[in-house]
Amino acid sequence: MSTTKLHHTWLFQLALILFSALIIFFHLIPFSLTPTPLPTPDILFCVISALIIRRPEIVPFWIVGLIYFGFDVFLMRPLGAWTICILGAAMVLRSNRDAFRENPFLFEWLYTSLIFLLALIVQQTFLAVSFVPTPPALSLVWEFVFTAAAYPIVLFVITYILRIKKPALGALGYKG
Amino acid sequence: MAGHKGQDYDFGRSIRRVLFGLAFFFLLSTFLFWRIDNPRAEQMRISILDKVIPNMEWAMAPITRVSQIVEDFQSYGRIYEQNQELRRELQQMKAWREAAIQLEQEKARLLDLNNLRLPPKLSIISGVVLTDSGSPFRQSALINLGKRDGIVDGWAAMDGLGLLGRISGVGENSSRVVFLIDSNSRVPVTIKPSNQKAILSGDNTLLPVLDFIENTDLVQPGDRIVTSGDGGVFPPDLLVGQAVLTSDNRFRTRLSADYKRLEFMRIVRHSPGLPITDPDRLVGPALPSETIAFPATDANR
Repeated sequence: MSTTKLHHTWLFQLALILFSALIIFFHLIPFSLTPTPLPTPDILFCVISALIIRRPEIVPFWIVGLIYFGFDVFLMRPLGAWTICILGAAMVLRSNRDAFRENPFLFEWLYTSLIFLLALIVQQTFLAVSFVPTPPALSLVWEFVFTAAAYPIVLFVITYILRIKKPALGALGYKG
Repeated sequence: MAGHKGQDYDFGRSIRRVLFGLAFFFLLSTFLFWRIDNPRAEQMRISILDKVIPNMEWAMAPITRVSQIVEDFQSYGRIYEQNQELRRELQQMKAWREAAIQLEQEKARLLDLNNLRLPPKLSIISGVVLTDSGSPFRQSALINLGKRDGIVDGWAAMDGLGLLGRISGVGENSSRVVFLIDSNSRVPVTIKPSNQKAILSGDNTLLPVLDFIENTDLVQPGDRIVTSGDGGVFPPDLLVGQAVLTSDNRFRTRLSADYKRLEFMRIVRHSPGLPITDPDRLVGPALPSETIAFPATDANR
């Protein structure tokens, strides 16, 4: 069991990187060059936090950092600011991983959404403190709402279509 | 055995922690670098984009095309209305065409009377839009013209009719155009019949604000807005749009350029005039060099 898991890890990692490249790609396509009032949900955050809770070996921090730094470079954002916030959020999720194993979905949903909100607030303060023009607060609220709403959908796809599940309570090896 | 494994685990964990700290430090210093030396950081970003984006064109083209086809299909739904509308517009256009021809003849006569020499026409180079900015807070696009085509930072980008924005960041094969609607865009403009100067500042909406109008009483909704050429970045008299008065009692600009269906843009080649560096050379004729020794004679007396 554990060998097959390890075997598939790099495959999942490759898929994750390709998926994020796809997201960047869709952001960059010039569908419409008019300003859109509503931001898109951060689907990738949902995927990454769901994976951290379920299969943390797929998403080591360097992959998260690499992907989000790529986002920063390609989407004309301040370099590194959002990546730092996401890495911090990922670290918090990772260190509290054990709590999710016993608690139901609702707790997980609430917790990840709150972490995302916290990351947004930290980023906003960070940018404001360093006198970088910040995105309008209202659109960040929408980004939070959309991302929180997207989480159950992403979770559904991950659990029932990709069949990545939490390790059951008894099924722990020495890797924890 | 179990203790050994535990030790291994701790060791790996502490290494991971150190690497995590390093990554954190790297990101923080990148951000600081970006903040402190922004032009250089943006130049690095544009060189990365320059390497990657032109290679993605094969994938982008079909998707962009499909989205346009879908949009075209949607417009089939109201083809009759459109037809009627176009007929009406055509009728109006005919009247305008007549007026334009008459004006042109009159203008030619007047120019002839004045024996006026026109400035050499601004030359234009056209490019294709490669990508969007990707972020809802930044309004810009990447085009397929770069240093290779002689593009220079600050040149104006137009669609067929009006001003779109300006070049900001030039790579070898691509460059970024920051639109007038971007929240960082500030362009000096003139409001036409009254010749009021104003600054057109973008705020992420399709109607950028007209700031710093001297006397708003002289401005009417519908007035033409053109670039003033102040600051030497843009050539003067490029069409920008029309003034509108919004419900918050501010003058904004309805842009003539159409951002909705933007595939191509034209970059206006423009070399600003020489800057005046010496204020004293402005007044009076150039004097012979002996006069510079004037203080010495003063001291002798």
